[in-house]
Formats: sequence, C-alpha cells, structure tokens
Amino acid sequence: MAFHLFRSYEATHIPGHKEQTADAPYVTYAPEYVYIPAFDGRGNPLNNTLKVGDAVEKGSLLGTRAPDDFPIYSSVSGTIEAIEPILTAGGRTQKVFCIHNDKKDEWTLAKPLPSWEEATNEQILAAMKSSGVIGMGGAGFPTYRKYNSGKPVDVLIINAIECEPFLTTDYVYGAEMAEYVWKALPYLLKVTGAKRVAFCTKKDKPALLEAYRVNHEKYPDIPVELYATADKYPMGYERNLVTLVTKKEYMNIPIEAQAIVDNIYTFILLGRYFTEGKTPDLRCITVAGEVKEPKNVLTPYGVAADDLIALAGGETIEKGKYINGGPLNGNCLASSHFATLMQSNGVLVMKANAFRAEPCWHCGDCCKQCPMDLQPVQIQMALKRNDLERMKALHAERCCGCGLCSFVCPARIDVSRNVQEAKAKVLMAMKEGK
Amino acid sequence: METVIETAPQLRTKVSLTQKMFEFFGCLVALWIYAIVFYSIKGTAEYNGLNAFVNGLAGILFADFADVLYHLPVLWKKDTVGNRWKEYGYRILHSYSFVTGLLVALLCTISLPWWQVGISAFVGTFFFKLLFGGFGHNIFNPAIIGRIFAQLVFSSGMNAYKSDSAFVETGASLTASNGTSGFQGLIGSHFDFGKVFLGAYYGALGETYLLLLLVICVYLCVREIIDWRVPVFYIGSLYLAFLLMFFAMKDGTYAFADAFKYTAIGGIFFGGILCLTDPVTSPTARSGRIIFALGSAFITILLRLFTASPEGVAYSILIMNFLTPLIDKVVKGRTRNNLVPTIVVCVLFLAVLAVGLTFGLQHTIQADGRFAA
Ligand code: SF4
Ligand code: SF4
Repeated sequence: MAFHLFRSYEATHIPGHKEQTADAPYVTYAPEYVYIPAFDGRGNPLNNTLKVGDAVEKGSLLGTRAPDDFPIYSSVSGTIEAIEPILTAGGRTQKVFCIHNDKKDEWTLAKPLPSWEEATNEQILAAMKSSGVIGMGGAGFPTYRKYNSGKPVDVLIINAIECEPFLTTDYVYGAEMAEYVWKALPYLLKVTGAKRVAFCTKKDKPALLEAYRVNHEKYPDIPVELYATADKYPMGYERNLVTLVTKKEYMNIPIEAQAIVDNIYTFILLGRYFTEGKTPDLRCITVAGEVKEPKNVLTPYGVAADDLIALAGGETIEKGKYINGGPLNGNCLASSHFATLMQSNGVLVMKANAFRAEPCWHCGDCCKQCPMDLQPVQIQMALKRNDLERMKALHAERCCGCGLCSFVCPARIDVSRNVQEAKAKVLMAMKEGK
Repeated sequence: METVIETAPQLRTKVSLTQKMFEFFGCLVALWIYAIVFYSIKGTAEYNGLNAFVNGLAGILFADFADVLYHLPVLWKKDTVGNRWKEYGYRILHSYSFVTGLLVALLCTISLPWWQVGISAFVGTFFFKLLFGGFGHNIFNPAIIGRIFAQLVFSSGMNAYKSDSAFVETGASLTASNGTSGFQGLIGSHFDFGKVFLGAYYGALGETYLLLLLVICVYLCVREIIDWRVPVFYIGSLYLAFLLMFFAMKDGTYAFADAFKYTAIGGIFFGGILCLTDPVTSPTARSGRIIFALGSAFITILLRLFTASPEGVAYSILIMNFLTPLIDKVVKGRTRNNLVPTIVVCVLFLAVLAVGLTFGLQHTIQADGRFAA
C-alpha cells in the first residue's frame, strides 16, 4: 500500500485461516430437510405461497415477495411437511417451509433465454427477475434491481476476492463454475451498455486466476480485465473495488460511480439460469473453525447449520459461538439449529473472545484502518458528549459498518457500534433538517 | 456446546492494550538496566548503581501505591461485580501506573533521593491521572508532571550531583539541570560523539543513552506502539533548526556535528520518543500528530534558546498536551481532506526553523562553546 503521511487508511493483512479448507475438494451433501423462509428480508409474509403437503421439485415456485413479486424457489424436490417458525441465519425466528427432500433431484426448468444477440433488453431483465437470484455477497438484495435503475453503467465488477478469513467457497467452487460467468456476461453487457468488465481476485488464488485465463482465452470477444489485488483486508469491499477499478468514490451505491458490483457466484447463478433455465439450488458453504474436519460442502440452500456441523465431525470446544458468514461480517446465533439462507457462505464455530473493554487510550489505530477515512475515535468521543455538530463535521454518516475499527481496537471497545449509533443520529438530523 | 453471543466482528486482533503497555514498559526497563550498569561502573560512592535501582523501584511502587489508594472503594462499594479482591487487583494493574512511575524515575537525576522520586511519581499519578478519571482520561502526561514537580519542589536534590567533585571533573555536568547556562558550552571538543551515543555523561537517569534510545524508538515504531511521525518530526525539525542556527553563527562544517550534539543533549530524544508519543495525551489523527510534534518543537526551541530554561522539553510537552483537543478540532472531517493540516504543518515547520535562524543571526559562537550576542 502506498505510503501516506497524513491520510489514515491502510489495508492490512488479516490472518486468513484459509488453509483449513482451501486445498481439499468440496463434498456434496443432500440433507433430509431444508428450511426456506416464508418471509422476505423485512419480515413480511410471502404472497401466493404453496401449502403444507404440496409436492415440489427443484425450481418450483414457493411464493413471491410482496412489493415486486420477486420469486422464491425450492432448492430440493420433495414435499412441504410443515410451515413453522425456526431460527434463521439472519438471527430472526421466522416461519419457514420445511421441505422433506426425496433426493430425486427432479427439476421444474424455466425456459432458457435465446442467444444474447436475439434476446431483447426486456427479456433479459425479466429473466433476471424471474431467476430469483439475489446478491450472494451477503446482503441478499434482489440482483435485477441493480440493473434496471436506468442509470448509465460503465463497468461490471466481478467480486471474486473473498477476503473474509476462513471462507473459501468462491475459491473452490466459484473457480470450477466460472464459465457460467462468461456465459452470463454478454447478456448483462447488452442490457447495461457497459463497455468493460473487471474480474477482481487476489494474487494468491491460483485457481481463480487460472479460471480467468482459461475462460478469457475461450471467449476473447468479451472485454474482461483481470485485477489481482494483494492479500489484504478489506480488498473485497464494494467500495474498495469500485475505487480500484473506476478511480472514483461514491456516496451510497456503486451506480453513482457508473459501476455494478456483484459476487462471482451471483454471476454464475445468472449464467446458469440464462442458458439452462435452472433456478438457484445449490450453495457451497464453508464449515470451519473449531470443528473436527473443516470442509466445504455443496448443498441445497436452506440446509440447517447443525446438519453441516455434524457432517464436519462436530464441535471440538465446550463453550463458543456459532456464526453465520465470515468472522468479520458474520453474526452470532443463539443455537446451531438455524436455517442457512441462499446467500450464506459460511458456518463457523469459534471460541468466545470474552474480552473486557478498557478505556480508549487514543491510539488512533481505528483511524488507521477505516476504509472510509473516518476518525472513529473522535466520532465516538463526540457521541459521548452528544455533540451533533461535531459528529457531522466528522462525517459519521459515511461509515459503511465494516467493523474494522472494532477489529483493530486494542482496548477491545465496540467502536463500530458507537460510530453506527452516531451515524443514525446524523442521518436522523439530516432528515429532519430537510 | 454452550453458546455465547458477541457483537460483530467476531474475530478481533490479537494485540491488546495490555500487551502494548508491557512492551513499552519493557523498553523502559531496558533503559533502567542500562542506567544501573552505567552508574555501577562510572558512578561515585554517593551516586552508584544501587541508587539507580532504588530510584526506579521507588517510582514504580509509589505510583502503584497511588492506585492502591484510589481504588480502595472497590472493596466495599455495592456495585462491584465478581470477586472484590480480583477486581481490585485488575483495576490496579490495568491503570498501568508502573509505566508512569518508572518514567518519572528515568526523567529525574540520580542525585534525587528515592523518597523524593517516589513522591513525584505519586503526585503525577494521583493528582494528574487518577483524579482526572484514570488511565485514558488524563489531559497531561503524568510522568512529565512528576518530573516538573520534582524540579520545582526538590530542586536541591535534582541539582545536588553538580557539586560533587567527581562529576565536575568529568567536565560535563549538564543536560537536565544545567539551569543558568542553558546548554551552552557543551559543544566543545571535550564532548565527543562516543560519549553522546553511549550516554557516558551525567544527566537524568534514563535520558542520555542515545544509542539505546534509538534502538527502542525503532522497535516501538515497528511494533506500532508509538507513531513514528512524532519522534521524526519533533527531533528532525529541531535538528534542522539547530543546523541553521550554527550555520548562521558561521560555525562552518562543524555545524552538522554541533547541531547534532545540541539536539542529543537535554532530553530531546527521550522526550520525543517516550513522552511526547504517549497516545492518551496526543491527538489521534496522523496529521494531528505531526502538528503536535512540530508545535512541541517550536515551544522547545523557544524555551531553550531564549529563556535558558532546562525544562524546555517537559514544558513544551505539557503545553501541547493542553492543546491536543484543539488540534483534534483542526483535523476534522475525513483524513483524506488535508488542506488545513497541511497548511498548519508547513507554518509550524517554518516557524521552528525561523527561531533557530533568528537566534543564530543574533549570536556568535565562542571558543569555549558559549554563545555571545
Ligand atoms: S465501521 Fe465505520 S468507522 Fe469503523 S472502520 Fe468501518 S467504516 Fe470506518
Ligand atoms: S483503536 Fe480503540 S483505543 Fe485506539 S483510539 Fe480507537 S477506540 Fe481508542
């Protein structure tokens, strides 16, 4: 990283712990049951749902999300045995479809798109919506919404960085399926009018670099450039990638910098739907941390986490925490019996930190790490004094919630939580001011 | 498995504040050991290695005694959770007063009796750290307060070694307490580079061992316990200012060496590396720290050249500690918007050089190393 005299932000190397699962091939697993939420991300019930006792196949429509009829599909074939509440990966206890898996893998296929030259923009956008693909990076936001904003797009960014420690799903499974990315790209370039594509990965991920090389040779007409970054955190942040590729900064969403960023697996699922009519069904999940045999598992989405942990040989510690996602952005769950979501990419068992916070000693380490160039410690002090003017002057509203300030704080303070509290206050004041 | 829930991020860095504090303390102990060895070999009957050892110990114990007193209520207050004695011990240890105490001892001269060192450490810790709210809440560097307290209240003890004939014979009784002459006359030929680097002259207990200080500085910067910007800008700007001064005095090529010696004595290195860098009392942003270091350099050079005060470094640190919230205000916003900090840094840097240059133009250097108007 460049040398900065004044500016704080420096990405750092965070021990990846990837060796646990990076070199072994993934295993496939067919669970007895899968649990798919009968609610959307905001907690509203789905419309047009199937009933208990209905038979489903892979790709059967289970229901649609309320405002825009976004479809939710089944990931296995079998029968809906119940619709009852269980803990889901987001931390909420919600009603889910409990689907008994008959392991026959029968498909209800959608009609694939015609070749990209023939397909119209309307057809492509409609297909993106009916594919049921959501952002696989973690947010779970329907992908098509990024593409029908009507704003000009210059570049599509494929995020294959996977900088979260422990997680290796993109590395082992994304690399294998990478050809679908190139199958999806012509459609996406056509519908957005983007002129170039950036394939971003880390220098130390040979499988992904190789996947890029092979496919780039096979499809020389698609303008994909390779961006190989150092093994630093948080290179995989949307903001960092957009700045890396476009040299621009944005306030809220990447489209402001004329860029669309998506996880590599999102592109894969789109490519699969465009060319084969298959809706999302399988998800590769890293099961790692304090388990006997850490591994990557290719499984229908909606699998319960305790099934995966049992598959990995069970926990090796007496007291600890269950985490959905990576150790930096993931959240803790109260029990291991929770339903993973379509975008879940990891199930981890970790020792508790059990830190006792000490007073802030103003070391400034948190300023050093902040990818938004904020001064978390100063924002925190302003929050304590409830000094709104100062919070505004320090741009608390720009915090992207990455949690890095809490990660580095040697005094073990939950800095990022404080900054986000300040952010909420500033945003509220801005709204009222308007 | 018993399940625990914690706030994100689930993974935290391994480096803890306690570890950083102990590493810093380890560096101070290295200086202390060097001092003990030095005074065992070169000391006199009255001021020997044992004195150095006892002074350091007294600083540590008295400073921690302040904590022992201050945290007493933990033992009976109702809201104490868990085992009272354990909590009491935790609070005493995690106030890190032993660091303050040893720093005070290293900042004082060997001729100060151990109980005076102890009282200075106690005053600094109790009144300027604990009463401000404890570790992390103090505005002034408690060690510097202790040092200044010793100078003001126990000045006879601080200066006693100067009347000891053994010290006077070495011809270099100087630095910290060289009140009236203001460090002049120290750059003559009797004062060679070897002495400067190994610290083979008498000053405050820990401040003279330049070579060891430089090693410690590199270590602390690499381990990111202190910010390298502070010592580099503080010491660097002072050196450049002294260089200009000696050039203006027509010192010729000796200017480089003389400016170096003039920087090396009088606690500039010790203060810049171990006191000015105390995170609690300095700004948090990098640009703020550079402003902080240059501001301190400006005050140091003013005090040293124009008031003949031996306490230039200590007072400059205190004044800048006081200005820290102001500097934090100047460096508002995001750390990539640097216009205001850049201007302030440039102005301060030029100001430091200007002071050196002005003084140099107004004075000449005499054969014995003293300055004449
Ligand atoms: S959580 Fe916010 S304040 Fe903290 S490092 Fe990330 S962006 Fe900066
Ligand atoms: S990293 Fe923690 S201790 Fe250091 S300045 Fe930030 S909040 Fe304070």
